[in-house]
Amino acid sequence: MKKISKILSIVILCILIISIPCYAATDKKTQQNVVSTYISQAQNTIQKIEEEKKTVSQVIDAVNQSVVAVIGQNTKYRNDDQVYSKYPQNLQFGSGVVVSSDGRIITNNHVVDGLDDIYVVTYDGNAYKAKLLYADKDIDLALIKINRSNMKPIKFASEKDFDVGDDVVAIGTPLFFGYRNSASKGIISGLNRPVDGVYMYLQTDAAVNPGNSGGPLVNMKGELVGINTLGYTFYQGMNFSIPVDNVTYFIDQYNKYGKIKRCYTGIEFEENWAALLGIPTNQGLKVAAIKNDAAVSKDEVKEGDFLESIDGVKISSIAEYNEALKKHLPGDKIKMTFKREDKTFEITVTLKELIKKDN
Amino acid sequence: MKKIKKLFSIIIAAIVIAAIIPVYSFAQDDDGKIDLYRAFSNQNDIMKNQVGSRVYKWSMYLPDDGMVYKSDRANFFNMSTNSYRANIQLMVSKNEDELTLEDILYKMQNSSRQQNYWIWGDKEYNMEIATDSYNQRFIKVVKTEKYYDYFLVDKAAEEFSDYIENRIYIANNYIYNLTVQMQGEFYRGHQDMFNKLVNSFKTSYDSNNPNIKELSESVSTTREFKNNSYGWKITLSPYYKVDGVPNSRNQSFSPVYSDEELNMMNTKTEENNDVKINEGITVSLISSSGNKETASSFAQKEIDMIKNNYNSSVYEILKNEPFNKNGMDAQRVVIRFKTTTNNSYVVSSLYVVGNGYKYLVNAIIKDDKYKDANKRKDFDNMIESFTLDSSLLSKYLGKIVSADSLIDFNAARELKTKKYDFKTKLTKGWDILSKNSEMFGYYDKYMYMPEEYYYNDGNVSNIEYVSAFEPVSNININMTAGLNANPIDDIVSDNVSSYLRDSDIAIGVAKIKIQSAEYNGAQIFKISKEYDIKEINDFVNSDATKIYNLDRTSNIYQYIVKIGKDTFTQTITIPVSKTSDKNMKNIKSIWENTTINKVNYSTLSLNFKDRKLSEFDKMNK
Repeated sequence: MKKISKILSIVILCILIISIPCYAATDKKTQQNVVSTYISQAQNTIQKIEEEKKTVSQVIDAVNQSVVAVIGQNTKYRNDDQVYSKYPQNLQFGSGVVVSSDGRIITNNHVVDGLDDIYVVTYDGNAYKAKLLYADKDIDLALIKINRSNMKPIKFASEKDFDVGDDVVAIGTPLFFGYRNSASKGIISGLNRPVDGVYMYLQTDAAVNPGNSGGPLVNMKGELVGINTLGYTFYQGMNFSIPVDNVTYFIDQYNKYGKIKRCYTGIEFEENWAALLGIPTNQGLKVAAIKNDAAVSKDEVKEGDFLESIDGVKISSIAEYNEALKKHLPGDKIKMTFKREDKTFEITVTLKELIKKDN
Repeated sequence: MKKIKKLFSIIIAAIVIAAIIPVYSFAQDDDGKIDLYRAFSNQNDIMKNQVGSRVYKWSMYLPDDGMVYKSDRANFFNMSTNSYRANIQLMVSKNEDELTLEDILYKMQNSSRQQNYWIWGDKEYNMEIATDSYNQRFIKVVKTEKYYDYFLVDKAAEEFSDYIENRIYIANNYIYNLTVQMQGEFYRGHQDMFNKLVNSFKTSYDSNNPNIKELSESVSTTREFKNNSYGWKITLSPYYKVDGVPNSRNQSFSPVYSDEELNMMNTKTEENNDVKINEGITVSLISSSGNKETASSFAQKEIDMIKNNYNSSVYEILKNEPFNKNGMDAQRVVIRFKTTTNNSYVVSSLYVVGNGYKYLVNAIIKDDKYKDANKRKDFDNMIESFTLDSSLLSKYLGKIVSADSLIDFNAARELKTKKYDFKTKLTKGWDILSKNSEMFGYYDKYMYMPEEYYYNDGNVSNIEYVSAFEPVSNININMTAGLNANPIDDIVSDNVSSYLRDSDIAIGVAKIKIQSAEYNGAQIFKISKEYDIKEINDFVNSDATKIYNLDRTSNIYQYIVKIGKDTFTQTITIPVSKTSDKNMKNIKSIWENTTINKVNYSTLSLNFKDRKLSEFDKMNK
């Protein structure tokens, strides 16, 4: 038996010894396969990136047909009786971008605000009378429609797919209506900018001038990343676009409800000076007043309390507060954390719907 | 059966066609061929290619890109046109002095020789009297601006300087001063375009030409004005315009043109232009109305105020009666004011209580117009078109309290100097003014300030003054106390010196009275200059060239008291038109309530002696 065991051990050992080069041979082959796979994958990725990374002119070519100019006469201004001209008084124009093949166009609210008649000039130079479907001052977006089919809608980027530093192109009608479909290039300079204190904006250094408003800011795939809206007039490269997520939110809400169903707590806040100057602060939003129809009682929240967070997300500006509410619908419950003197407390608030009296 | 089948097929076909056509036409795309030039053009003006004024009788070519700035009356006109690189300016003025072109040329010649200021002025190259293609004579001046020669060297100045042609026409009793200015470089290549502009000017207006843009068109029709903040509307007659900002609490409307201009008279009128009566209509929301307040009581209060504050000979109540229009609580009041001699005017008013407020529509009309039934009707129509409309009330409009309802105007108030014991009693109706008083109102008031005080540094002075003004009666009181060691006669001389050369006193329409007395070492002077309205009227009736504005002509009552080295002066003025019995009684009571160093001189039996004005003539001493 011992002999048999010994023979068996020798045989096993032999097998093992023989199998070493085999094993060695197998490892090398695997390594070669992995490397070639990696190379192949990298080559594919590079090729894909190269394919996706179109030249600026390709991007403009791809997007241009979706970009329109918007014009009309602002009837909110009084005509000056001491001035006469055959020039139409108070002409107002901006840009827009086609979002559906049946002629729906997104532009800024401030482009169409005050216009009794809205006209759209498409890429091919044709002019159409547009119908205002919906506009919202706070988010500064408007949805208009022309009676034309087979239009080329712009593709929407996903906000997850772009970041600071990405190349972008702005297309629109800067300064002069004859400069329609002018393009300028830049990068995304920043995200989440509370420029007007209402919602967050995307910052870009792509040239955006008066008349660019409502026009698209696109990435190098020709996808919409924002709607060009604001800019500092006497400074350079400080322009702001409404991010694509807010555009999607606006369109979705309109499609579902015919309007933005905005949430309302009835709590009025004041921003502290640090928030207004953009200085980081741990201070929350100070409660300035509580309306009679508020979603909270005056016993729960008092003037002078500080709102620290909503659903665990820190809040220090009104734009952040609005962005937090934007994720909800009236009837939803949110957790609001307040601080009163040194005590922190949390309340659950059932959101109401904001009814705007002037709209 | 076949027939039925055929009929059935036709019906089905008709239904299908009827159903398809609208759907098809609805689904059909717009063609995109909108002409935005047409879409944005004013459809009434799209064919206009001339511009002009029916009132001032002129017209000229209007380029499609012409940008016109004009005065309200369009007697000043400025038009710039980019496609012509040109600017056109026209000033139309009445030919008051009946000048000829030669007269004007002579004036221009004298002026060009005298005025040689720095870079201003023009470089004339051609000056002559010419005739244009419409057979109109005009002064033609061709020139360039000197300005370019100041900054540029000779050739460059010639190259860049604007080319200017100035034309002066006399026609229709007006002087037309036309200037057409074109960029020099552009002019050299486009003289035809320059000539097109300058030669298009005509001193006539063709009312039948539909292609002329009439510059007063926007005000030439009867139109409704709505005040969207204070809840009322009114119908404006042609050629009336809104003054200032629309939707004001006090909203005024005034005529754009004079009657003379609208009638396009070619002869000089006899109208007296010295007296400016601002005709027009003002609608005011006075205040919230009280529960028991009616238009009649509101009007009566105002009438009482006039009775209490105007001399009875300067006003005449022509109408005070309820006005019924669509159930509106209104009272119609018409009062003639004769505050300027031989230039009386009428204030035609509508007092309204409604919407929870008191409204006053006030029209000022020259008396001669009021006496003309047609012209009066124009005003009456405007006033009586006033309508309340609660849908035009601003959502911000709340209670507008009248201070009158909160203040007891008869309650006592003291006017006194701080360092010196010099004071009098007034009522709450008076505005007391000191050097640092804040002005909250807009009405015409001024603050008397002794010269010495005015030029003094800060508050360091041995003279102190206080002042008060009563806005309803326009009585003004100034009290000055301080160091003045001069003899009393010299002090009085300084005060009355202007009376010595006062023509009104010399001809007897104003009387001067100077009296003096002494008490316990104090020297007291009482000086008054008082106008006699009857004397004024007699005088102006005997001499049509003379005129008096009784609102601006004042009676003056002055007391000067010298005690030791200090002098105390109280001066009260009141417009002659406001010398009502009540106001004169008030003036009297001011001195009766005045004390100096706790002495009330009015209660003492002072032996006042009459003094002659000539005694205080320093020149003849």
